[in-house]
Amino acid sequence: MTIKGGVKVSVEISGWLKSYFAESSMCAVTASPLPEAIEEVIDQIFQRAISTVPQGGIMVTINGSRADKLIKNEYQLQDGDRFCLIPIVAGG
Amino acid sequence: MMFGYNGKILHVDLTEGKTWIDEHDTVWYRTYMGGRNVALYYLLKEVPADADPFAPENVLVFAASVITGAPVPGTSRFTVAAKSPLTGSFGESQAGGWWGPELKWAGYDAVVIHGKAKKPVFLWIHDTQVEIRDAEVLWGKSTGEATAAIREELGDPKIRVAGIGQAGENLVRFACVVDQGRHTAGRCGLGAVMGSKNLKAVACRGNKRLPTANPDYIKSFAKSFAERVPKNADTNQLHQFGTSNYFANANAGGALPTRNWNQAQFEGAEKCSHEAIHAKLHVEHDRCFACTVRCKQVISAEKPYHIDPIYGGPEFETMTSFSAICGCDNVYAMCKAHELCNAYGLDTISTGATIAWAMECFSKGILTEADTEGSKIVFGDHEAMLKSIHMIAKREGFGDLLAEGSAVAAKKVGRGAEQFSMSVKGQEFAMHEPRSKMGLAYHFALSPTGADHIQAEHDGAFDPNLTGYTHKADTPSFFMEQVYPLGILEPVPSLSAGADKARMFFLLQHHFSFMDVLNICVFTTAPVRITTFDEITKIVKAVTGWNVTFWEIMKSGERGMTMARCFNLKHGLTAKDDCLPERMFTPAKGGPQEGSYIPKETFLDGIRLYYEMCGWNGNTGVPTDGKLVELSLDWLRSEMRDKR
Repeated sequence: MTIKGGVKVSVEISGWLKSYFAESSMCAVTASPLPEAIEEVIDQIFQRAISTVPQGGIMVTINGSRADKLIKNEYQLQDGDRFCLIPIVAGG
Repeated sequence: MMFGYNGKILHVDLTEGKTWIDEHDTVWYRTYMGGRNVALYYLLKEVPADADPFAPENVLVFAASVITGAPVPGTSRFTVAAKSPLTGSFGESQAGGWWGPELKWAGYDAVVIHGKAKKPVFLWIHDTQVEIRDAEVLWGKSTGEATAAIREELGDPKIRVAGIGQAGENLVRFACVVDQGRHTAGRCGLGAVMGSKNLKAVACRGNKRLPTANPDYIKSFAKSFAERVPKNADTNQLHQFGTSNYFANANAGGALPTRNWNQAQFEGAEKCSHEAIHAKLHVEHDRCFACTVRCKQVISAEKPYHIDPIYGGPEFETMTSFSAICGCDNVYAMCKAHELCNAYGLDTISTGATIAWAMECFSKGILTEADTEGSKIVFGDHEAMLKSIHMIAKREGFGDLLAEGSAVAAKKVGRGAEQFSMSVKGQEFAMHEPRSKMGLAYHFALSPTGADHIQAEHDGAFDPNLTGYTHKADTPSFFMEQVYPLGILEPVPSLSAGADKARMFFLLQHHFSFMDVLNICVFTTAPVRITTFDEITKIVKAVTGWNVTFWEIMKSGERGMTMARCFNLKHGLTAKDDCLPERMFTPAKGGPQEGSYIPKETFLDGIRLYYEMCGWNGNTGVPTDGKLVELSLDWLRSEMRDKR
């Protein structure tokens, strides 16, 4: 299943991930529904990294909510949805 | 031949002014290894069950491990332990820096301090010599001033000084021990135990480097480690920003406790982030012995507050303690609060959390200006926050109540104030939101030292719902692959508090426990950072020459947890103390995890399962005879039998 015509989403980069990109806010396009769309968006964004992003964990929020909650609720992506890529939180 | 350690434990009786040495054989060292376990061995043998933490009968232990002092990145830490005046339980904290290696080079693996001096003293340990020296002129000085004065008196700027400031002298229940003004054994009030013994500092200097069994491996590992620092996502950031880089992530992820855990996201976070610190204050970097991560930040400023760089810079915990948790968004005040705490010798976590407790009580009308000598202490008022720190350290006015810690203070105040103390066993929560990463619920409830966040690696690394890497067994994530040797083969969601999380916590906790036994820094090791479990095993082999296995090292971690359990049971704690404040069972507010809460019955079932996994009774948490014997702790059987 695909989203007809695709959707354009904004992607904000948070925390240490920012140091691997020239800009902290970008756009991506996807025609896939959740959860496949997340992988597509991350792939598109990571292709724009200025150096190799080390392996790590990333939390994805969409419009301020955890992506896995939206997946569970079968949320349909829309134009203008706001993705945020947040490195996982370790202890300190 | 003995490799890596001295085979000597120094005892000092401050009441009698005498010293003696315990010498132990290889079996003893291989059983206890160092840090937590050596400290608990002496605390369990020496501290009577009814001892007041401030009485001379309490024993204070400074311990390194069998590998401390070898030039291995991440192994510079040392343990400070005693019966805690904050919790009445096992009190333990570790610090990095140089003090641990220096103690080893001075000829001892640990120092056990008994009794109480008649007047202020400091210990001077140098090349196996021990002196109890007068410290009357040092009493009242800050940790930085005292360090400088001791170095000047003894004529050596490289002397390492672990000491207390005015907070420890004034028996503030969360006073800490500070090495060189910036490396702190922060938690559990161990600085107050030093104060109760009239012990201002323990100074060390040693010139004897201990031989290691395989120096070639150590050299090659250190080189390989340094090469991997910039390639690892976390150590690369630690190298640049220290743990301050976690602050923005925690906030964005809805895991930043705000206004005494009333919210999980702080609207003023950007103003206090690592980027704000770097933009507004002068920042340099410092490191611990042999470590190439160099995660220590050193900050300074002249305006609006003078901030002395001798006291280092704030870590994530301190940043949150003096910003989000108090609702304050002033980066300068946050950094000044850090400096004050290190100078006075105060645990930043308990200080910030206790002030936040008072702020919430004030907002609810439980505390009024009649209680605070006319001062308003409200969320967002950074000047009130700074004033409170001074008053706590000096036990002045309202600060005398806060110096007891939020749990004891809440009991004294009454009127419902207890529900706002976010603490376990009397120790305040560290700056993490258990409702956003539910492993922290187990950290806080089951830590033998009261609420503590370094019981295990945090949930996010193993959450299948966090995207960006895969958790599938055939193409494992970096983190999952690292924990396979622990028997963790399946990821567990951050928002699970069930049996799967209890099992993961049990295994990860024993991993972190052996790190506290060997005094290894979590910021250098797997699963999130560099040194793998296989490499840890090789390091212990290379330093000591023992043919150890990872299984044996894990057992040392398990031994530590069970010994700590025995200490707490002996001192009157029960399974009822492994609890959480009711707020944790109500929905979180703010951020992407809004609405999540700890499911109480599931969590309580997880605690019972954890006890049973530990070989403890599922209801009482008392270790079984079989478990004690298996861990070579049969000498604790009779005492535990009385607890069943």
